[in-house]
Amino acid sequence: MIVTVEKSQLEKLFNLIKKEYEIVAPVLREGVIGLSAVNSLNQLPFGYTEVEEKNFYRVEKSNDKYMFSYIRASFPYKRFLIPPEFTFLKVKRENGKLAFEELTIEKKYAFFDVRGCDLRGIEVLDNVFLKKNQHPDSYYEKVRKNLFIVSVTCRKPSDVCFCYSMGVCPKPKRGFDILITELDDVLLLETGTEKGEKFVKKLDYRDAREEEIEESKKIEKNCIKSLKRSLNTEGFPEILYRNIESNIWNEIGKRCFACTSCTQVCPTCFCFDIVEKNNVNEGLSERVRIYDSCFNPDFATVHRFNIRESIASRYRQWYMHKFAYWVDQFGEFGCVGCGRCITWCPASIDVTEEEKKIRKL
Amino acid sequence: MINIGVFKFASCDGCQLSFFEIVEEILKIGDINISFFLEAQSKNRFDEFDISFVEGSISTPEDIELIKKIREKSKKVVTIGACATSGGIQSIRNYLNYKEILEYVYPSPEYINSLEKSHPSSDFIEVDYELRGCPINKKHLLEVINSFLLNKTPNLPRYPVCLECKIKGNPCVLVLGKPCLGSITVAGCGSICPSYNRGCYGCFGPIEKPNIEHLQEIFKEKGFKGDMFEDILTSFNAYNRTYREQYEKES
Repeated sequence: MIVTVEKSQLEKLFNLIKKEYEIVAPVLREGVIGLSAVNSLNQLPFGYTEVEEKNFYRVEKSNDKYMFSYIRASFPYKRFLIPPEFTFLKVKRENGKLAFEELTIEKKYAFFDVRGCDLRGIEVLDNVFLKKNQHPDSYYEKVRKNLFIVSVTCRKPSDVCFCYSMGVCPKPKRGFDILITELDDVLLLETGTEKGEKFVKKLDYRDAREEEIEESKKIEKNCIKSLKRSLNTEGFPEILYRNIESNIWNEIGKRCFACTSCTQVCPTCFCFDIVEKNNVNEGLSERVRIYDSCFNPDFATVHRFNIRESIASRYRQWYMHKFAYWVDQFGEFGCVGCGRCITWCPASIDVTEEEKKIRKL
Repeated sequence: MINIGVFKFASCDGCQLSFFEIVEEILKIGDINISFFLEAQSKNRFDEFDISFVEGSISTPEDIELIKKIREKSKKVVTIGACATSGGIQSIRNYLNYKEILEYVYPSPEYINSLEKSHPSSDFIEVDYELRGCPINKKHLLEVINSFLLNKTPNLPRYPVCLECKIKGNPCVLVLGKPCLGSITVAGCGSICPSYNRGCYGCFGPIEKPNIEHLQEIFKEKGFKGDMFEDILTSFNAYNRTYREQYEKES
């Protein structure tokens, strides 16, 4: 259903969802928009916006009248789908025997304000962990099954965004339970599922008028028009394979710190390590799943030898995975164009600039 | 029963204090005997050790003899902290004129019998594991002891501070405009400083391939003062082999 509600109805919607879910939403904390469990709608950073550039980030008061004036959190939602670190198995010595205990994650989250890029990010992770995986990830599956998604149409992009290049629209077409588009005077609500419809029906709504739907389309068009960055994906995997031995990787390797930041702020980077934590005094062993990164020197260390010793080879692995290997593995790109890796790279490396250089090789 | 020795060379004793923080855990393991630990007990015996933990840098001729003796008598030698691993803050002198400094500090320098440089243990003996930091993380101490008992390699990070910082959910303080050495510093501290909105000052020492050159450029671009080698890295881990080699290459 496509309906229109007064802006004041947003709080009601929030509170209805809160009754059934633990809400995770963008919040402003110490000058940075992050993600956090929230209790009230006014914890969201309404009235603020981000200024983002290569290796630069600042939050300031927005000069427009919209609630959803900010763009997106500095971190993607993935850490709520797969926690950065969690114990999934405990083995304990009990009465001379070993007792095994399997732990699962019991969470019922509603993500409140997922932008197009992050929604696509979740779709990519669904393919990685579930849909295109012969061994579906039961931990991811459990949290994902309970997930409720409220999406929001982007009114304006940040200067690092290049979502449209990656096939992502500022106004999402699928994957949400409810989609909110903030118009000048009202909110346009679109439902994607029955779950979503159930909540919207409890609001004071009326059918959306033709001109309101038109206004929402115009918002999207304007947003796409104001994108400053782009990445041309046309034939890009082939170009990358052709240049796999190019000197450009060494050149980037001189700039990259291999700090792992890009992989951690990326909505689709999914690598993890499994670590055994032993505690002799309690006769306890815990198996822990923890975020890893292809920039970690231990990542490709096999029998004491790191097969990706140089930073250049690690950067090439990451970049080629995003734009070439991922296509072979999953039939799509591993990038959604959110631009976070551009903002949060302390070495000022910009994936869109590198694309242009690689095309010229 | 495993036998442990804890030794001290030129240092502030801070890393040894980490043992007092894990006393309960050690006592619970039960099969541990600490036969040498001057700071903790009055009766000490120097015999054979399963693990010897070494704090402090090697800075006198006697130190060299003792560290070699410790190596001979120990199955595993583990350095604890920046001094034993990288020469410590006192190794700043390694890049200055030794004689001049001696005259500045001591009224009668002729009584001082010290090495010209402050050395990490690994300059004289083979070290099995190095625990980084000023001070170390007590969790790493337990990891080494637990791993020895289980006959496995301890799990000590080799990745930079940034990974554990991002795992904690911190935004990058360098991007936000604070000088931070996290990207070239090995993890293990729990990214304490960035978690309090401050830059990492590198007390855990360098990762294996620190991109110091480019970090210097980024620091310059952001308007942070100071030369990486002269002012910033030659501190806690001044004589770490990685910095030492780069420094010698530069000068």
